[in-house]
Amino acid sequence: MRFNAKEMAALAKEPKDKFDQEGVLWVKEKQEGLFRKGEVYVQRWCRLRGNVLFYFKSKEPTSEPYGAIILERCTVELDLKEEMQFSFQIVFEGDDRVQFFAARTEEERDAWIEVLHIASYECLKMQLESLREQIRNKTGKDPIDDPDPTVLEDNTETGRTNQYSSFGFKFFS
Amino acid sequence: MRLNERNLVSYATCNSPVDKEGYLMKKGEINKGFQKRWFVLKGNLLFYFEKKGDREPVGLIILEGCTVELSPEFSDTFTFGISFQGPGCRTYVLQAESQEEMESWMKAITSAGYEYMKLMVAELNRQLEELNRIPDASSLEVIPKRSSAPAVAVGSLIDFGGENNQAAASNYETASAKRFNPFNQELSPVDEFGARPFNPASEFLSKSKDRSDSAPIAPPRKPRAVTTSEFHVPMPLTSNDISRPKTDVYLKRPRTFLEMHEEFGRQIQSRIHRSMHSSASGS
Repeated sequence: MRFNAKEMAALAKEPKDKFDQEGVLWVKEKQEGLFRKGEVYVQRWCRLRGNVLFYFKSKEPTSEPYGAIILERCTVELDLKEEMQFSFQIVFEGDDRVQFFAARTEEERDAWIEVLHIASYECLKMQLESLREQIRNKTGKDPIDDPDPTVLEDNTETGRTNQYSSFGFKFFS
Repeated sequence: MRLNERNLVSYATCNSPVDKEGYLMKKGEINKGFQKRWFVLKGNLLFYFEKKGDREPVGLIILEGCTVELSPEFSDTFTFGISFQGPGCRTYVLQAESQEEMESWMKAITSAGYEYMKLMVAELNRQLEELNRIPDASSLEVIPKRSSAPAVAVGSLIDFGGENNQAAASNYETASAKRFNPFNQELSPVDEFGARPFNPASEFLSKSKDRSDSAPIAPPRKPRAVTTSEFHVPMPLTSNDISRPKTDVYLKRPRTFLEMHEEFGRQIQSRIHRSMHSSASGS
């Protein structure tokens, strides 16, 4: 399956403020090479941006982007086997192969789990729907389809224009 | 660059909600011809298949850091591009069969980004917090209106008022196959990011708009009175409000999406109307 790899690699190298989390992680991978079998843990510089976890060639932030994991329909769990200390795993729906990672400290592991846990777009959208429902219950109006008219005012420096049209939302069921 | 392809192939065809799907012609990268592909948009992932019902996508466009614009090269067809910034980065050229379809896809793709969704969530969170803070407050308040035209990063506030919408609608049906820019691109100024095309995320993130950047043909907006709502809180305008940190994007956002959306609709209809008139006079 083709994808916009070059463009993603460019995104992977953007400044820190574009990322939700970054740091060095041990990533369990198939060993490269003709005569080697099995898997090893390799240290990689990792950066999470939305639902994309980028990983680089080495643990150096200056190394080149090596790959990306798109986090949809997956769960992030503790790894009870703990081959490596502070390990955790990502399990994808319909895939029996588990992706193992390990952090360098317990805090880092917990921070990564927390952020990866809610990284998927689907999760974000569910949050949106939940908030929408809550607002609807409170106001009797849908904040997206039927915004509060008091805020549909002309621009002022302090004017709060904070409603959305169905523009982007008519496609969401 | 590696990708968790297997997972994505499953994801493309699983029962997760589809935001939009349909056939589009896609221009090849090497083979310069257009090929028909079945596109499926799920969140910020735009998959394409050889045909509807296929089990494996031919490709995927991850919609992050991209902008959507009309394709200048194919201006007599309903062709648009998804462009990525950066050296050697490509523009995916896609072609729809009608103005409507093209617009629909352009809008869907434009609002597909993760950042955009994050902003929506943050906004609704903010609204909910406010609602929870103030149980019931009701009053009528008219907020003083600015006399100058508000700045916009997209489109312009052309108020055509008095359009005969019915006539425009029927003209749309019989209009010649000329496409219009749903984002009214040629009139929009370049924003802080140096980008001209419509990008809702950059709209949100833009800092204080320079009011003098507003599109030259935009007349001042008519003032609108704020109506009563039991949830509206009468907050006096203080210097605190005005000097909120620039990171508070909600204060600086120039327009609501509802307004922009309605604006597009009016502009498009009036342009149809105008183009019908100009073609009638033999241009």
